[in-house]
Amino acid sequence: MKIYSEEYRKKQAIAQKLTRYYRKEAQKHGLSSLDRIMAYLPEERIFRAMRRGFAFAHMGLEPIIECIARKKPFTLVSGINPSSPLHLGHKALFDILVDLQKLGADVHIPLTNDESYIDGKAASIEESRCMAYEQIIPDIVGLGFAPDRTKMYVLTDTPIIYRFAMSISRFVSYDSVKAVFGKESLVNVGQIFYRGVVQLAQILLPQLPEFGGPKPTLIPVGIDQHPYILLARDVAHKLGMIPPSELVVKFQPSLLDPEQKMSGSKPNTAIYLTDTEEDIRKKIAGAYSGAVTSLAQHRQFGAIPEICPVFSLLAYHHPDDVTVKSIRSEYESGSMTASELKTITVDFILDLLQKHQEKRAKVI
Amino acid sequence: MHGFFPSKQGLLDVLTKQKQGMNPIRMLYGETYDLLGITVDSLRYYLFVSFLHRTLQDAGITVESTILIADTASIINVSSGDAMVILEEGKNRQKHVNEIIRIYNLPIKSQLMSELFTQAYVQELIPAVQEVVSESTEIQLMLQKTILQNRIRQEDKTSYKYGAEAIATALLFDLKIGPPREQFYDEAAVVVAKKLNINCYRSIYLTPTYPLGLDFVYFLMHPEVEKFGLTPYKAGSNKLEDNRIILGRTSLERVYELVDTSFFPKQAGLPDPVGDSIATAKVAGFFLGKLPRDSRNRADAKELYKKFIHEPLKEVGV
Repeated sequence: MKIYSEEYRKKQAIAQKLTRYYRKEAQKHGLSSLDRIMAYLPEERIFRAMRRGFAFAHMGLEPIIECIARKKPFTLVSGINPSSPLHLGHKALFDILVDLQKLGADVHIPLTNDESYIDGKAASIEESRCMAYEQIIPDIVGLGFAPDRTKMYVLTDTPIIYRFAMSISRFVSYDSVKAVFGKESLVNVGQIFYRGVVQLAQILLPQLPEFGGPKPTLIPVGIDQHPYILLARDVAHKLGMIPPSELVVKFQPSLLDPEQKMSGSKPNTAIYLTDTEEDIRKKIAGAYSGAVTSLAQHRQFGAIPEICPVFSLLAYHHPDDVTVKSIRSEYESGSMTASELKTITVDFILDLLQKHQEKRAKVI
Repeated sequence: MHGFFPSKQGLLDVLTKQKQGMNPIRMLYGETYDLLGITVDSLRYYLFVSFLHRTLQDAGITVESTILIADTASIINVSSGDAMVILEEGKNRQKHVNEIIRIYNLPIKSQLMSELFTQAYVQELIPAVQEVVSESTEIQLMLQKTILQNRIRQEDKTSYKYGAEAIATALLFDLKIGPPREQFYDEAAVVVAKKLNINCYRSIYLTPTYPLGLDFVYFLMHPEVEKFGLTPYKAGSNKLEDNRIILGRTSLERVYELVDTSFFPKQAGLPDPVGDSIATAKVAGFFLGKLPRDSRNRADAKELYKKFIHEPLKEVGV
């Protein structure tokens, strides 16, 4: 019997905590696991996030699967707050959109610069617009969306959103907004209006007559965003629209702490799509590891890939399942060291981002 | 087999007791019908009842097995003009079931529900069960699980006549064979039997039935389909009439087309309509004195169906 070191046991405890957390949250919110859907889906239709387990739960995904199989129209909506440059966590989410677009989806990407402003993350509306147009949109374009099936819009330049939000506002009470978001994130009236209805307007916009009328819509979200979807489903019913479906994804972990997500406002937790080679090397070198520090113990116990942010860079972004599986197996068994994993990951991320930056440069 | 009611042990207890006594085990499979003919799904039940009948006999237990053609139940909730046609069809159906019994040499008999209901004991039991059902909200709630939501009001109006008669009929037997959804009737029957101070039957549920000719999306869109199946062979069954294989009527080409366009599961526990048709054809082969080899693919399904079901039953029901 192996006697694990204190350090290994601590890492193991984190892995267990994370597994329990996602399971409990899914249960608490009445979400369904993806197991049933994956059992039915032909292999070629299981997209990467599902196959690798970072899309892990859903609400009402079946109609979307039906649309994919029957080649019926459906829309994906995923907003982005342009308060900081895009990082790999954003890319992971956008990759899901790209994969689903290949399966037939139209994609709506609202850039919520109004949110940046009302939350005090941009000094002015103009600054938030500049960030959206100059930094974020070129990055998104470089991610490989089909231009004819992608609608990107900056909120403060899209009056229809506010008209629609205003018409929704009669169906949403202040109490329900408070219950979903909590008083602490509703400090000014802009936040109340934005969180209460502008966000819902983005989700339901594709179902307006000018966008083709009611149709299934899928929103990929983090588990913490589930209450917004419930609110949107409720309002959709009231407006005679189809309640949006939800795909719940585990966010790409912070480079420094597997229990936190990558954050654009904390540079060392994230790799930005515009980072230099030096930044990338430095950040990965300083990242938390799923392996214990003693090499002898690592050889004996192996690593815990589930809590390793370095391994997660490969798990979320490497296109080849066989390579990821083989690296995982070697790292988990202890035959690959944390340092070797970091070297492989640096090479892969450098190549990935170099290609991305080349595409981005062409957009600018 | 999918499950037992109330439990496997409960069933074994009854069989053991019956073996020691003089009375035979009375086994029942009952089915309503419409005007489209006997489906391969019904054949599956006739064959299973026959197989179990033989197995019990081989174990020294005397058995009487009945395929009950539920003509009177089939006309509940239909217009009077249609009712006459459906009742008449019951006699035709019995004739065809008897042909199937003859062709496969099955150790079972068929009976019309209308005939069963003429017996004095049954005539006393039905009103007694109906009274218990109409007075018990608990039983009515149980019976609501057996019907679609949009039918509940209609059932309320008739004081759950259909469910009450189904329970009364089953209470005349010791062992009932049916699909998993029968558990809702069976749970209600236990309460009825207790109130009437009579013994309640035991049940065996066969694995759920799934229609051929549908893709994975159809099954995915139906919650609980893995637990209760879909019943293409029943009247008003989700517009699945085109997916039925009707004995003696559906052409071999159509059967092949249905097999070719069917969902084929990649793991156990999912609907397996092609696998089901293979299993049915193999038992049919067994009753024809053949022991077909192990089979899994679509080509085998077609070959076995042709050899052991289509050709022997070519003239049935035409």
